Amino acid sequence: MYMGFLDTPAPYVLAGLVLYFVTYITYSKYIDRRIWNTDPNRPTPAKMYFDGVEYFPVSKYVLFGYQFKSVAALGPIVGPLTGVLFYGWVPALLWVIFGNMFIGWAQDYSTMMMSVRSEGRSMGPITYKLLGGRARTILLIYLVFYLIIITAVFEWVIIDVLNRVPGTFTAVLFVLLGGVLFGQMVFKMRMDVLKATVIALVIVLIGYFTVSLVPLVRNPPTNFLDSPTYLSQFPAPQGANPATLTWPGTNTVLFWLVILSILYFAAAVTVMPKFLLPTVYVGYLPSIIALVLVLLAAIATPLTGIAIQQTPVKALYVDPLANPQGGPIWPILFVTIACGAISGWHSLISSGLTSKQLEYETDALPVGGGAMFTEGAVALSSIAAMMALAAPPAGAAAYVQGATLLTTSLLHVPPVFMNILYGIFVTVMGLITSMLFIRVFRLVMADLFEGSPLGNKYISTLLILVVAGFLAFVGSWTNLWIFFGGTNQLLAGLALLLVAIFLASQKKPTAYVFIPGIFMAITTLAALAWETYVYGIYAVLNRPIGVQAAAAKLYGPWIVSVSNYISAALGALLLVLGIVMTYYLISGWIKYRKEASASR
Amino acid sequence: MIGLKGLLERRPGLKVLIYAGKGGLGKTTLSAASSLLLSESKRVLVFSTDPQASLSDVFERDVFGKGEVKIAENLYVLEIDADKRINEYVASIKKKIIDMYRLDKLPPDLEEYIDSAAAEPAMYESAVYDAMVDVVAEGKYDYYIFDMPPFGHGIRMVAMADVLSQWVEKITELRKQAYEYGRVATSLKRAKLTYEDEILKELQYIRDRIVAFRNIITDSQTTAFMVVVTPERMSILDTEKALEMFSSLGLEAAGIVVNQVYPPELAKSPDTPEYIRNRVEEQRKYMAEIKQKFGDMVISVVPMLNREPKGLEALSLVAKELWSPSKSLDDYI
Amino acid sequence: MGILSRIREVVEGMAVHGQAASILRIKAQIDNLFMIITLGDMLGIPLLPPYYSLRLLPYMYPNIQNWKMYMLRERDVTDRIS
Repeated sequence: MYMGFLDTPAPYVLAGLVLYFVTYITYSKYIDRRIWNTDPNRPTPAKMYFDGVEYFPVSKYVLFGYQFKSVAALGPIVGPLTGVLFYGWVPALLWVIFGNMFIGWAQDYSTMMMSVRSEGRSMGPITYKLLGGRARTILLIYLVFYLIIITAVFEWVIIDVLNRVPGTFTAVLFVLLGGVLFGQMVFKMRMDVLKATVIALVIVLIGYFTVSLVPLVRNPPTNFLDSPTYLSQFPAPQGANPATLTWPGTNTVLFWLVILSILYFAAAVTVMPKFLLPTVYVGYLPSIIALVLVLLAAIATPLTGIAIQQTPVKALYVDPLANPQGGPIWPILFVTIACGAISGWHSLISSGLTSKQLEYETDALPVGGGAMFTEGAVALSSIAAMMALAAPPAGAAAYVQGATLLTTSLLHVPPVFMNILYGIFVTVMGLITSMLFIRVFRLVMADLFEGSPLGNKYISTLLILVVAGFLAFVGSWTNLWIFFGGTNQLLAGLALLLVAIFLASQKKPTAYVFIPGIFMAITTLAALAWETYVYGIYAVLNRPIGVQAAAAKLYGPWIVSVSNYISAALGALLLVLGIVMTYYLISGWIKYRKEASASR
Repeated sequence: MIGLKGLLERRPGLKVLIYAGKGGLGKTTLSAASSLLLSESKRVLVFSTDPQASLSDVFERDVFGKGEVKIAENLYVLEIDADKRINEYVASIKKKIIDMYRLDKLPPDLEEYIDSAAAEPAMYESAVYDAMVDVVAEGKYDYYIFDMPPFGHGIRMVAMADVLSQWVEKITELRKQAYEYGRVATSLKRAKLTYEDEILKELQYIRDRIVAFRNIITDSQTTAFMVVVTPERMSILDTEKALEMFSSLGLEAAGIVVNQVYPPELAKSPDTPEYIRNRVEEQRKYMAEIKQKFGDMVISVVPMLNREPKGLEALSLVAKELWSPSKSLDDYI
Repeated sequence: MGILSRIREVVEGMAVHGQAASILRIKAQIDNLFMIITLGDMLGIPLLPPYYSLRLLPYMYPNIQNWKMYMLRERDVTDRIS
């Protein structure tokens, strides 16, 4: 059925894609050629420092796939979700499009080139070299902090999907099984990788079809640990059926948290290639299908008759006393939607392994910039999925619902198949990236707390599992998402400013990174300040923030004030660190600029 | 004193006779003499690796580096030019690298490494022991008599052998583990691993050689260690240490031969110069010490000849005393 | 390069490359141990008698340079994020 073209999400998604493409071939190419002067004949670290282990040239297609997989997680899915629901799809869309065009790709690409021109060094050593040890330590502290939050957030997202999309857990179990078996087959049984892959995929498919086709396997709903009467005590969205909800503080949540923590711990203590990585491998194959499908479906909406159901612009200001995640659209929207527009995590990836494996300098743009624009496309399709929903359920399951809606209209299959596919997709992506984040957390803790028990592999793993688990359990993560966005985006701003300093030290123009860097720094510092203020108000008023009320009912009102004061204090700390870091960066930039103009 | 004859009667399975002891005590002479004796009835190979080329001296025939040379019926001499062997070995390794990787020449630091490894005494030792393993393994002779070069009584490697073979096993295990990972990584990327089989083969070969050497040395049925001592303070102390070391390695010396002993008659002859008479007196002290410390282990006392023990004729005199001593130990005290 | 093989490479990058990188790192550590034991006397740590370890040298030759590069490189925590 043909709909008014502009009433569907398609034109907006297409506009975004077109704008990305145009930016890539004009602005990005310009920066690549004029400012960085990339030269395919100049040897890259992959060739100069060849060691056959980390430094060796890799095809740009493989690196693109690797970069994309490392930067894209649930970020472009969770962020737009909240953004659309709070502020409307127009602001979300505009930020995802223009943010990526001027800031997003620039960060990913520039940090990669900075690393390439610094002998393949990563953010830590480069920060150290340009700004000193203290700046590097602050960087690591941020990392610690936001890794804890993102783990908590993802735990919640996974739990929400596991509970509200019945059958997901069973299907995911098959994926994990396939992963473990793949690891065994390839290592212990020395099977050919191709054969092992096929077997693993067959297992996944068995799980998928069994769950989709057999209602008995799919039901019952998994909040079997809570009774409807118990659940009805907790504040829930209007009209929601308590029996199908997973609400913070409930036993169901606790149950899932324990399972997830056991899984994460198992991943942490086994050698990566035997468990974690084969799971990544097996889990990624259906996920790629899911991603491609939802993008195609978003573009095909005029043909499939999906109309936009969401309000274009909902509010420019959301009262934080009504909803603690709210605030003025600037700066809050900009930190709510992180990955998809711009994300600091990417700078770590770009300068981590990828820069050491670029075959030619000219590959940096398609790999770094290309991956970021592709992630933007994923965010666009997530926005489209949200746009199609009239009454999205609260929580991450909204994405599953939206994606199912889009794709079933395209493929004309019973919705349950897509439901399960996207349930698997969100869960597996969440699991995989969480396991990798926990590993990075361990590494950073080991570096920061060398010698002390906190640096111990098992203790730090337990630490993050307990803290993140607690945050997910009491639902505080919802507010801490702003802190996450704040630190992540601050990291992005800092990365951009670092590139500006690097370019200044090379006597090159810095505007294209400096301006976005300052913008991001100011925005995120404002967001952190705002959030500290909000927590402060809630703490002083002793009001529970949304879902804390549920936890308070279980454990007593002290949870509310303790939690809020701690959060306010944390916010203040991050703000101070952020200001200090920004100060280092700006004064560094000024210094190098002075030197550059002095020597002209 | 039972003499070599008595020793062989007690140990009928003996095939390998190793003369150990510090340099300059006459090991070479004694090995040569033993070989002469045994060649009367069986095929014998006497083998020396002493860089002083002493067997050539003793047999008055240049046999250095000439392979197994027949001196008399059933008597063969092998004097290994260890340096030449090492040089050839090292050259072959260098050539192998150049051929395998089609280089113009070896990178200088690699060449330096190889050359300095080749110059080490450890290299010399290993080459010697390796040659010994070869010779015994060939099995062409009934008796093998070795005159071990004087490095720490020449059996350090026995102590090392167990440790070394364990190291090699450990390395092989490591290698296989790495191979597993490498195989997966490269098959994930559709690349190829190189030379794994060859490395594992080499590791196996190395282990086999080390173990073969150890087996020869520690098989007390077939191998006997003969320690040479002279009636001097240092020599006696050294011999005590040597015996301790043997026992700490779980080996035992089969017999002790006292060499370079002044014939006691010299003391009685009126023509003997004063200083010799004194020496003979002194010697009695040491001989007593030897009897007290080593007692039954002494199988023979070989008196000094009135000329250098060179040539088959002189050697047979030594051989006679070695085989079946004409005097008893007490006669010297 | 055909479009199909490019797609295959992208999928390989997404699903496999990280795994392969991690495996290579583990292998490098094991190799390092092996190198030290066999060619340790290059560093002044004699373990295997050089007479025997020289036999392995021709097969180790291609790795020696890489080994030195890998082991001597300074590595920060952010280098290991992947």
